[in-house]
Amino acid sequence: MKLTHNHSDEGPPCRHMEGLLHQAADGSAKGVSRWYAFSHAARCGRCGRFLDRLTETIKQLRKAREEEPTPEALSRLAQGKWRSAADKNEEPQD
Amino acid sequence: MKLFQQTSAKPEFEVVALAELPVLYRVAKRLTLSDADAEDLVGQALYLAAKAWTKFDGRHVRSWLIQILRNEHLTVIRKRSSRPETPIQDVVEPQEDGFWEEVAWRAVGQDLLREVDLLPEDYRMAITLCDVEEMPYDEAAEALGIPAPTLRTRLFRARRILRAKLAHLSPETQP
Repeated sequence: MKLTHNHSDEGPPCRHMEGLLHQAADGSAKGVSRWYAFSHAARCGRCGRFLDRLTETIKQLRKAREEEPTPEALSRLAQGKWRSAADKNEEPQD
Repeated sequence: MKLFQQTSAKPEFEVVALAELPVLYRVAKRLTLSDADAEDLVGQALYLAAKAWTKFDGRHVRSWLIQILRNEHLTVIRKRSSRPETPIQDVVEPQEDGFWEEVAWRAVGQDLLREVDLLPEDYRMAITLCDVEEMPYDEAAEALGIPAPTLRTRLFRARRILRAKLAHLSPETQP
């Protein structure tokens, strides 16, 4: 089978590769799928560029997870009405 | 999160609830787009979860809690009569050429989150669960009550839309 690659760095990724590149970027591609995605991206300018940037974006999104509730909000939630409501098995009063 | 595989006994609800609080809050924040509403939503979801805890089989506790959170959110929305969503068709697909260079230095977490918040809810939740919270596709799909292939489709489209949004932040498009 002859594999085709885009040698230019500009433009969208190869159509048949996009799903696999998404999975390679977020780490959900495993085994042969992962190998094939990275191997293709290494030879294909557009897919390589797409994979690099998508990986960077996902990395930044994961950093956003560091956004935590304030200690006050956490404390309120930790001491919330769910504790007693669960025991009493009744609707909390607002 | 496979919390129960290492021990035979189901942990106390309190232990699970306290461990999952930050995740639930972040997901609630992405759902409600408001600190106060997120707090209310998490509180109510925990109350419902605590009531249902004895019936829960213990599999994928995070998915289960997020499912409760999302159902409660939908209930609240229905009560308030639904707020307008960003129509997906209004989002312009990006030109790939060149804009990633701009994204590379602009794509800091908070900027990205602001753009995520502008996505339609289905896409916003796919990004939040899979990319921000790093949940496996199958658990995220379970949390959202959709098949995994649907989740993947939404996630890939969401990333595409996010790229389009980020493209608009390019300095070349600024006045």
